[in-house]
Amino acid sequence: MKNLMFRFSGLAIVALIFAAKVEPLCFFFHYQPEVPASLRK
Amino acid sequence: MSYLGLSNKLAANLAEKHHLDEEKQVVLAFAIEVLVLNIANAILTLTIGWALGVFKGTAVCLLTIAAFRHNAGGGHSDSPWRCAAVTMIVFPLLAIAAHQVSTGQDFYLNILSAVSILIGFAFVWVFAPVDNPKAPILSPIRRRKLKIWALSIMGIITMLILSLRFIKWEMAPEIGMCLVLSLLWVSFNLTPWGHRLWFFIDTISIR
Repeated sequence: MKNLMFRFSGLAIVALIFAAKVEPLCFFFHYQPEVPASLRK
Repeated sequence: MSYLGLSNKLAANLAEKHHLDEEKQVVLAFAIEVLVLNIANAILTLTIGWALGVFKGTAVCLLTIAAFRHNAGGGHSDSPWRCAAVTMIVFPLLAIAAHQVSTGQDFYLNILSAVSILIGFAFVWVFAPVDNPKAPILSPIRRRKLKIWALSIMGIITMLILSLRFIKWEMAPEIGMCLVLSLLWVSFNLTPWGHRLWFFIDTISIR
Protein backbone atom coordinates (compact mmCIF):
# COMPACT_ATOMS: atom_id res chain seq x y z
CA MET A 1 0.00 0.00 0.00
CA LYS A 2 2.82 2.40 0.94
CA ASN A 3 4.62 1.50 -2.28
CA LEU A 4 1.46 2.23 -4.28
CA MET A 5 0.99 5.60 -2.58
CA PHE A 6 4.65 6.43 -3.21
CA ARG A 7 4.27 5.62 -6.91
CA PHE A 8 1.02 7.56 -7.15
CA SER A 9 2.54 10.64 -5.52
CA GLY A 10 5.50 10.34 -7.92
CA LEU A 11 3.11 10.37 -10.87
CA ALA A 12 1.26 13.34 -9.36
CA ILE A 13 4.57 15.24 -9.05
CA VAL A 14 5.47 14.55 -12.69
CA ALA A 15 1.99 15.65 -13.84
CA LEU A 16 2.04 18.84 -11.73
CA ILE A 17 5.54 19.89 -12.80
CA PHE A 18 4.67 19.13 -16.44
CA ALA A 19 1.47 21.23 -16.23
CA ALA A 20 3.31 24.14 -14.62
CA LYS A 21 6.06 24.02 -17.26
CA VAL A 22 3.62 23.91 -20.18
CA GLU A 23 1.69 26.99 -19.08
CA PRO A 24 2.69 29.01 -16.04
CA LEU A 25 0.01 31.71 -16.51
CA CYS A 26 -3.01 31.53 -14.25
CA PHE A 27 -5.93 29.58 -15.61
CA PHE A 28 -9.00 31.68 -15.25
CA PHE A 29 -9.44 33.51 -12.02
CA HIS A 30 -8.28 36.85 -10.75
CA TYR A 31 -5.23 35.87 -8.75
CA GLN A 32 -1.84 34.97 -10.16
CA PRO A 33 0.54 33.08 -7.87
CA GLU A 34 4.15 34.14 -8.38
CA VAL A 35 5.69 32.12 -11.20
CA PRO A 36 9.04 30.54 -10.20
CA ALA A 37 12.02 32.04 -12.05
CA SER A 38 12.75 28.71 -13.78
CA LEU A 39 9.29 28.70 -15.43
CA ARG A 40 9.31 32.27 -16.73
CA LYS A 41 9.45 32.44 -20.50
CA MET B 1 8.05 33.00 -3.36
CA SER B 2 5.00 33.34 -1.14
CA TYR B 3 2.46 30.58 -1.49
CA LEU B 4 -0.30 29.36 0.79
CA GLY B 5 0.77 27.25 3.77
CA LEU B 6 -1.06 24.24 2.32
CA SER B 7 0.85 24.43 -0.99
CA ASN B 8 4.21 24.85 0.75
CA LYS B 9 3.60 22.01 3.22
CA LEU B 10 2.35 19.57 0.59
CA ALA B 11 5.23 20.41 -1.77
CA ALA B 12 7.79 20.04 1.05
CA ASN B 13 6.30 16.70 2.03
CA LEU B 14 6.35 15.34 -1.53
CA ALA B 15 9.83 16.75 -2.18
CA GLU B 16 11.19 15.05 0.93
CA LYS B 17 9.67 11.68 0.00
CA HIS B 18 10.96 11.82 -3.56
CA HIS B 19 14.28 13.59 -2.84
CA LEU B 20 13.55 16.58 -5.07
CA ASP B 21 15.84 19.61 -5.16
CA GLU B 22 14.74 23.05 -3.94
CA GLU B 23 13.92 24.37 -7.41
CA LYS B 24 11.56 21.46 -8.16
CA GLN B 25 9.94 21.93 -4.75
CA VAL B 26 9.15 25.58 -5.58
CA VAL B 27 7.68 24.56 -8.97
CA LEU B 28 5.62 21.91 -7.20
CA ALA B 29 4.32 24.43 -4.63
CA PHE B 30 3.37 26.78 -7.48
CA ALA B 31 1.56 24.02 -9.43
CA ILE B 32 -0.32 22.87 -6.30
CA GLU B 33 -1.29 26.48 -5.55
CA VAL B 34 -2.67 27.09 -9.07
CA LEU B 35 -4.53 23.76 -9.06
CA VAL B 36 -6.02 24.12 -5.57
CA LEU B 37 -7.09 27.76 -6.02
CA ASN B 38 -8.63 27.18 -9.45
CA ILE B 39 -10.54 24.04 -8.35
CA ALA B 40 -11.73 25.66 -5.10
CA ASN B 41 -12.80 28.86 -6.89
CA ALA B 42 -14.63 26.92 -9.62
CA ILE B 43 -16.49 24.71 -7.11
CA LEU B 44 -17.48 27.64 -4.87
CA THR B 45 -18.55 29.83 -7.81
CA LEU B 46 -20.62 27.05 -9.42
CA THR B 47 -22.21 26.25 -6.04
CA ILE B 48 -23.30 29.87 -5.63
CA GLY B 49 -24.54 29.89 -9.24
CA TRP B 50 -26.52 26.72 -8.53
CA ALA B 51 -27.96 28.17 -5.30
CA LEU B 52 -29.08 31.28 -7.21
CA GLY B 53 -30.65 29.18 -9.98
CA VAL B 54 -28.13 30.16 -12.67
CA PHE B 55 -25.81 27.15 -12.68
CA LYS B 56 -25.67 26.79 -16.49
CA GLY B 57 -25.11 30.51 -17.03
CA THR B 58 -22.37 30.61 -14.39
CA ALA B 59 -20.68 27.60 -16.03
CA VAL B 60 -20.79 29.32 -19.44
CA CYS B 61 -19.31 32.53 -17.98
CA LEU B 62 -16.57 30.49 -16.27
CA LEU B 63 -15.67 28.67 -19.49
CA THR B 64 -15.66 31.87 -21.57
CA ILE B 65 -13.47 33.74 -19.11
CA ALA B 66 -11.21 30.69 -18.68
CA ALA B 67 -10.60 30.53 -22.42
CA PHE B 68 -9.66 34.20 -22.49
CA ARG B 69 -7.67 34.85 -19.35
CA HIS B 70 -5.37 31.95 -20.06
CA ASN B 71 -4.08 33.74 -23.18
CA ALA B 72 -5.05 37.38 -22.79
CA GLY B 73 -4.20 37.82 -19.08
CA GLY B 74 -5.56 40.96 -17.41
CA GLY B 75 -5.95 42.61 -14.04
CA HIS B 76 -5.30 40.49 -10.97
CA SER B 77 -5.76 40.82 -7.25
CA ASP B 78 -2.79 40.53 -4.90
CA SER B 79 -4.78 38.28 -2.59
CA PRO B 80 -6.25 34.83 -3.33
CA TRP B 81 -9.06 35.54 -0.85
CA ARG B 82 -10.13 38.78 -2.53
CA CYS B 83 -9.92 37.01 -5.90
CA ALA B 84 -12.16 34.21 -4.59
CA ALA B 85 -14.67 36.70 -3.16
CA VAL B 86 -14.87 38.73 -6.39
CA THR B 87 -15.06 35.59 -8.56
CA MET B 88 -17.88 34.16 -6.45
CA ILE B 89 -19.79 37.44 -6.74
CA VAL B 90 -19.06 38.45 -10.34
CA PHE B 91 -19.64 35.19 -12.24
CA PRO B 92 -23.11 34.37 -10.86
CA LEU B 93 -23.99 38.09 -11.20
CA LEU B 94 -23.02 37.98 -14.88
CA ALA B 95 -25.24 34.90 -15.28
CA ILE B 96 -28.17 36.60 -13.52
CA ALA B 97 -27.70 39.74 -15.62
CA ALA B 98 -27.57 37.60 -18.79
CA HIS B 99 -30.82 35.89 -17.76
CA GLN B 100 -32.52 39.27 -17.27
CA VAL B 101 -31.10 40.88 -20.41
CA SER B 102 -31.97 37.87 -22.60
CA THR B 103 -35.69 38.59 -22.17
CA GLY B 104 -35.25 41.91 -24.03
CA GLN B 105 -36.10 42.64 -27.64
CA ASP B 106 -34.02 41.01 -30.36
CA PHE B 107 -32.98 44.40 -31.73
CA TYR B 108 -31.30 45.41 -28.45
CA LEU B 109 -29.73 41.97 -27.99
CA ASN B 110 -28.22 42.25 -31.49
CA ILE B 111 -26.85 45.72 -30.70
CA LEU B 112 -25.37 44.52 -27.40
CA SER B 113 -23.83 41.49 -29.12
CA ALA B 114 -22.28 43.65 -31.85
CA VAL B 115 -20.92 46.18 -29.34
CA SER B 116 -19.36 43.47 -27.16
CA ILE B 117 -17.73 41.81 -30.20
CA LEU B 118 -16.29 45.15 -31.39
CA ILE B 119 -15.02 46.04 -27.90
CA GLY B 120 -13.63 42.51 -27.46
CA PHE B 121 -11.66 42.58 -30.71
CA ALA B 122 -10.43 46.15 -30.15
CA PHE B 123 -9.24 45.59 -26.57
CA VAL B 124 -7.65 42.21 -27.32
CA TRP B 125 -5.89 43.77 -30.33
CA VAL B 126 -4.60 46.74 -28.32
CA PHE B 127 -3.88 45.28 -24.87
CA ALA B 128 -3.50 41.47 -24.95
CA PRO B 129 -1.53 39.72 -23.63
CA VAL B 130 -1.47 41.63 -20.34
CA ASP B 131 1.14 40.22 -17.97
CA ASN B 132 1.99 41.22 -14.42
CA PRO B 133 5.15 41.36 -12.28
CA LYS B 134 4.35 37.95 -10.74
CA ALA B 135 4.11 36.30 -14.17
CA PRO B 136 6.05 38.36 -16.69
CA ILE B 137 6.04 37.39 -20.37
CA LEU B 138 9.73 37.56 -21.28
CA SER B 139 9.82 36.34 -24.87
CA PRO B 140 8.46 38.51 -27.70
CA ILE B 141 7.66 35.30 -29.65
CA ARG B 142 5.57 33.99 -26.75
CA ARG B 143 3.88 37.40 -26.49
CA ARG B 144 2.95 37.25 -30.18
CA LYS B 145 1.70 33.64 -29.85
CA LEU B 146 -0.51 34.58 -26.89
CA LYS B 147 -1.96 37.51 -28.85
CA ILE B 148 -2.75 35.24 -31.81
CA TRP B 149 -4.37 32.71 -29.44
CA ALA B 150 -6.42 35.47 -27.77
CA LEU B 151 -7.60 36.77 -31.15
CA SER B 152 -8.43 33.22 -32.29
CA ILE B 153 -10.51 32.62 -29.17
CA MET B 154 -12.18 35.97 -29.78
CA GLY B 155 -13.06 34.70 -33.28
CA ILE B 156 -14.51 31.44 -31.92
CA ILE B 157 -16.59 33.30 -29.32
CA THR B 158 -17.82 35.71 -32.00
CA MET B 159 -19.00 32.76 -34.12
CA LEU B 160 -20.71 31.23 -31.08
CA ILE B 161 -22.48 34.52 -30.25
CA LEU B 162 -23.63 34.92 -33.86
CA SER B 163 -24.78 31.28 -34.09
CA LEU B 164 -26.75 31.62 -30.87
CA ARG B 165 -28.52 34.71 -32.30
CA PHE B 166 -29.82 32.62 -35.23
CA ILE B 167 -30.61 29.15 -33.86
CA LYS B 168 -34.01 28.26 -32.44
CA TRP B 169 -33.31 27.00 -28.92
CA GLU B 170 -34.99 28.32 -25.82
CA MET B 171 -31.67 28.68 -23.92
CA ALA B 172 -29.88 30.35 -26.87
CA PRO B 173 -30.54 34.02 -25.92
CA GLU B 174 -29.48 33.45 -22.29
CA ILE B 175 -26.32 31.52 -23.18
CA GLY B 176 -25.55 34.12 -25.86
CA MET B 177 -25.87 36.95 -23.34
CA CYS B 178 -23.61 35.03 -20.91
CA LEU B 179 -20.96 35.02 -23.65
CA VAL B 180 -21.57 38.72 -24.39
CA LEU B 181 -21.34 39.88 -20.77
CA SER B 182 -18.33 37.65 -20.04
CA LEU B 183 -16.62 39.15 -23.08
CA LEU B 184 -17.25 42.66 -21.74
CA TRP B 185 -15.90 41.69 -18.29
CA VAL B 186 -12.76 40.13 -19.78
CA SER B 187 -12.23 43.12 -22.09
CA PHE B 188 -12.60 45.52 -19.16
CA ASN B 189 -9.99 43.54 -17.22
CA LEU B 190 -7.47 44.09 -20.00
CA THR B 191 -7.66 47.87 -19.73
CA PRO B 192 -5.91 50.27 -17.32
CA TRP B 193 -9.37 50.90 -15.77
CA GLY B 194 -9.63 47.19 -15.00
CA HIS B 195 -6.24 47.31 -13.32
CA ARG B 196 -7.35 50.34 -11.29
CA LEU B 197 -10.44 48.44 -10.15
CA TRP B 198 -8.26 45.57 -8.89
CA PHE B 199 -5.91 48.06 -7.22
CA PHE B 200 -8.94 49.55 -5.47
CA ILE B 201 -10.22 46.09 -4.44
CA ASP B 202 -6.78 45.32 -3.02
CA THR B 203 -6.94 48.42 -0.82
CA ILE B 204 -10.18 47.26 0.84
CA SER B 205 -9.20 45.91 4.23
CA ILE B 206 -10.77 42.62 5.33
CA ARG B 207 -10.95 42.22 9.11
